[in-house]
Amino acid sequence: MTTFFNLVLAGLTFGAIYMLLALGVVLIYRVSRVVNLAHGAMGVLAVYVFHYVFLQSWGLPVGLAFALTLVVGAVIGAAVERVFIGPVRRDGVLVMLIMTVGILLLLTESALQVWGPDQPVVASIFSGRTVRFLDTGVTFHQMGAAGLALSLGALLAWALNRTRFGKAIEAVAEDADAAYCIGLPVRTLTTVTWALGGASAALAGLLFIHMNSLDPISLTFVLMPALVAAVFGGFASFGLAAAGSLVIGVVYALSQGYTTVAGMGDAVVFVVLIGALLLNPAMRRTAALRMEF
Amino acid sequence: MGSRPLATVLPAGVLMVVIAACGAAPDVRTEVAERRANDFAGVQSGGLPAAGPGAPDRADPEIDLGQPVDGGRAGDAAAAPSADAGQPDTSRQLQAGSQPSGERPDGAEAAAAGATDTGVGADVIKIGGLYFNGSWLDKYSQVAEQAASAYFRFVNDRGGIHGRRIQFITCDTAATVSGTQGCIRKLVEEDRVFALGPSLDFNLDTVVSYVERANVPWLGSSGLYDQEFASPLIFPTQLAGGDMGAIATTFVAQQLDARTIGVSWNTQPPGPACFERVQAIAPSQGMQVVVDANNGQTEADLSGQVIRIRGANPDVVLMCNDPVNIVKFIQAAGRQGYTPPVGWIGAYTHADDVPQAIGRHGIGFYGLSSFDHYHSDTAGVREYLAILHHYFPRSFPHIYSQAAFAGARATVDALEAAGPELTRERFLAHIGTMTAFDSRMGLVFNFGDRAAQQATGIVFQVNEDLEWRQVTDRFTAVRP
Repeated sequence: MTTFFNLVLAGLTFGAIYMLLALGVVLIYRVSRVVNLAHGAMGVLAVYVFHYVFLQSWGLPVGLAFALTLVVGAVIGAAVERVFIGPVRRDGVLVMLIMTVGILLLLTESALQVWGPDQPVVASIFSGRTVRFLDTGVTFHQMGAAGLALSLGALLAWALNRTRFGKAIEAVAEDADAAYCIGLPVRTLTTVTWALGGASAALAGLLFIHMNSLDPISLTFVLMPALVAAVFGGFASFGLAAAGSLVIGVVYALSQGYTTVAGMGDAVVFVVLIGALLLNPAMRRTAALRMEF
Repeated sequence: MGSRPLATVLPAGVLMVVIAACGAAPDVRTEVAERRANDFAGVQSGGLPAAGPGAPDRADPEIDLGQPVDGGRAGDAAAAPSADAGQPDTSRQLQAGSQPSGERPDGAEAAAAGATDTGVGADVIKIGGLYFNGSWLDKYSQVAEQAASAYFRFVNDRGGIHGRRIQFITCDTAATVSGTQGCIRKLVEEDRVFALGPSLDFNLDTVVSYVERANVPWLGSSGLYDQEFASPLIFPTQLAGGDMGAIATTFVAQQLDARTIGVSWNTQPPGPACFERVQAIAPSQGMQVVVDANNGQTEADLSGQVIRIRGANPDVVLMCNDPVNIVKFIQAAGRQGYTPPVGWIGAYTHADDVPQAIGRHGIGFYGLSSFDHYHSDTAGVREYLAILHHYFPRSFPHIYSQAAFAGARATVDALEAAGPELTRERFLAHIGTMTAFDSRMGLVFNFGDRAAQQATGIVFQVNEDLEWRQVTDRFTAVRP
């Protein structure tokens, strides 16, 4: 039983990373109706700036560098929207989706070209000390990541469901022309939303990469389960996406701990997704409506 | 409307300023720029120094290498494409429609002056190499490629082999099956190499039969697959995965006095072979494998595997993983506050960046190497470092860089021994006589009787400065 609880705890802590990514994906989807496959690469690029520019080159304190990195993430998100997504917005979802693949490759290769293939360990604003819990350990970094993920999820849910800003974003997503006609600043709203998505990607990158090492493609692999979690939320609900992220984290950890079949963790995650879609018609309808590609 | 261009350009401009202007630290920028500029340039060294009595002996570690060169070029410019995306990825073996065409020189080529076989001209010998440079382990393959290139250039700069210089043509496989198969076909059928040489690549098991049908010798493959060691044409210059597992198990039994082992192993070769050998040897050494947990190449987190192994509480955790997953395992263990009671050891770890990436939770972790420590003061290691850094001043040494260098040396020795009338038959015949090829870095290869290959190695430990400290002399692993 101890092993079981330990695996659940490990899954929850890692599910928090999935949650951060899923929230950003859902946020961008809600305004642009595109699944941003470059989300992980945007976060990784920001972390490269954090490590090589803010810490190594400029010698900034970690806390200040951390905050500036969120700004960099926002700038990356805004730039991606303005330079790449905005111009093809009217060409349809498929074109935008392919564009995100191109952005993914561009950002990944750019990081590699500028900073090289080294994979250093990056700093965290949280302590690496371990707290004993249920016969296992959890670091302050992991607890901080979970706290930030939950806080961000609550903040986004409130902002998008309870404020005029959220309603405006929904209006833009439903019909950009109509939103423009009633006086909404469509382009600005879209860019701001991508900036928020970029900042959340940077946050996810900072928190995840500290637990591994800086690698241009690492966060892209983590994005896959986060996309599954976003499907749980129909690419619309922050709450369901957050819950889905935690479920996926736990399922993945249990698969790692209780099976000896290679790749079983990934397989089980997708089996759970298929099962959920089959057993829950409402979710299937939502996903079908939302996933326009 | 007037604000739209500005609004479009401004974020992009800020982004470019952050990345490009303030970007990498100057030294990093310079290094990367040089490396990238040179990575895909040719290895042809232009005018060759005259060979003759005055030419120094290649094997002399005290050799004067002259002035450092321009930072080095690792591969042939025309021969380093990305993985061939057009190749099918549906089969593990390269077969239908891939009948090699380069096994013999055609009439015109044979008639050319000095052409004695495919890939051999009057003044050139073409050698091919595969590297997974476009992959998650690219930092290691790039420097392995540099090590092999450095030795070939060193030989070229001293007159080559019987008046012929070596043209080392490399190909980036991106660690994909289609990449490896596409690269092999390109090297054999388009570049028409004489032989394949030092390489560091996955998926070589999928091209063994193709290489054999093409009758292309391969000296210096990376040895990640058992099929390489079984082929009559392929001669790795690294120990097999099973041998690495045997060395680690021998150390655990004889030095750590452990009774129970937990094994973390990667499902990609050589992980399975390493794990199987651990299971085979452990009982004879009075030990028992009480738990194992496998991992894939790109798993983001190994917390579950750590918990699984912790649950069985083995004395020692033995890892048959690539360095990236060893780092992930120990990082995950650190987050849980777990350290095995007696110790832990990893088979593929011998590079300076590994203990630094592991961090302080890895202090005391054991790693092993089949070659002498690349910082040791032996003649062979001094020679390796001198030549490597002469041509590639910023290259860093590690276990597979040493293997590539040894592969280049073995290739040159065999080419020289085959004589000026170089043919694949002569080349292979000489390889068969190399029953005690001394890598000059501790490891001795028996290419003539590979079943008799001695699995020897050295064990290191991560010290307080997060550096490898040698803790054993070279020892021989027990056999199953």
